Amino acid sequence: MDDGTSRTNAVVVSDRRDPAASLATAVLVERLSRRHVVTVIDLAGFGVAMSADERVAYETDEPIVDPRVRASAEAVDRAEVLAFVTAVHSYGLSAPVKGWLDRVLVPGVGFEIDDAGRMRPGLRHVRRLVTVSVDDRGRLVRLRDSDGGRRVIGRALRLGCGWWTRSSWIRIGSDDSADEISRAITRAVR
Amino acid sequence: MRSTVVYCHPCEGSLAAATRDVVLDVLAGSPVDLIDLSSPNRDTPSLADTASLDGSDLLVLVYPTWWSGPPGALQEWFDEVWPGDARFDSIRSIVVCTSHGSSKLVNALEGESGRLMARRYLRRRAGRRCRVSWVALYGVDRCGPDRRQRHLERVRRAISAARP
Repeated sequence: MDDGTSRTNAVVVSDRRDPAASLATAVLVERLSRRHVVTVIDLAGFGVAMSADERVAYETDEPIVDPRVRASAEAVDRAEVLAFVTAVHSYGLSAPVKGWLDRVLVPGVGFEIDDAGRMRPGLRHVRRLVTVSVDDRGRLVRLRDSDGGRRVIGRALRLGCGWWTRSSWIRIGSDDSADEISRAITRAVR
Repeated sequence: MRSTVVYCHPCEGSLAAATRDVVLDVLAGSPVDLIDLSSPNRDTPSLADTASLDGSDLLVLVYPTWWSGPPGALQEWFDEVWPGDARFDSIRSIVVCTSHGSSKLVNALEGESGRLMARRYLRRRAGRRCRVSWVALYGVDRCGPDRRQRHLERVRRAISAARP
């Protein structure tokens, strides 16, 4: 019998302002819960901007000053799966998700800085990145504008992980039905 | 010529703040709207920001690149003020002044999301034949005052060249 002790940790960072994003979060958590202990970080009320105090602390050995940011960082430190639920409002990730990356994945969490001042991966313990993006743009517009959020997660964040970290990108529409959202997530997160 | 300068960095004394000062110095004498997203008195993006962009010929963005893109506060501003269906046809020139902690090579591997945002997303939603200039300092955490000074000189030249 699985008492939960053998399961690894997953973190779901969710900007669920959009109804489709809220539904996607529920489906994603349900899928991940089958194999992981899931921590959901709801970004409602999580400030998007790094404060002056945080920016000053960023340069020190104690770069985190906000308790909510610290709780997120501790969850990330234990995570084997890091998942995001975001939406495209202009270009790239939604502001709460981008703000979360800026404030939580600071030196010592998202990356390390070696003696020569070079950045080194700090998320080697993360084996899987999953992103669900609510994106109503057509394929042509996505190709023409490029997909900024996908680049941030699939390339920039992926570079901060281990060699074998897999990254999945799941695009859903804001008008998609619950079945369509469930199918899209289930295909990627088995 | 009217210009809008959007500035986003929480700390005075930063390279971004010095860059903002250079930009404002070059634009002195012509109408400039400064949108300071780091100001503690500022709440959320406003209609005044939209009105400012509507009448501007030149848009200057000053921000540090974090995680391959603009900071969350600037992303919020874009989400509110410049969503995908918005156009600002008066804008004929966009200058992005930014800095990166990592090298140019690492940024290329990371996909340079911020650069693509300016060159593709913003340009397509600005005036016809809008020009985009990208002035970036890479490896900012390891560079000395000389490189920073050269960067500020590049900013000065780019803003001067962008003025119609």
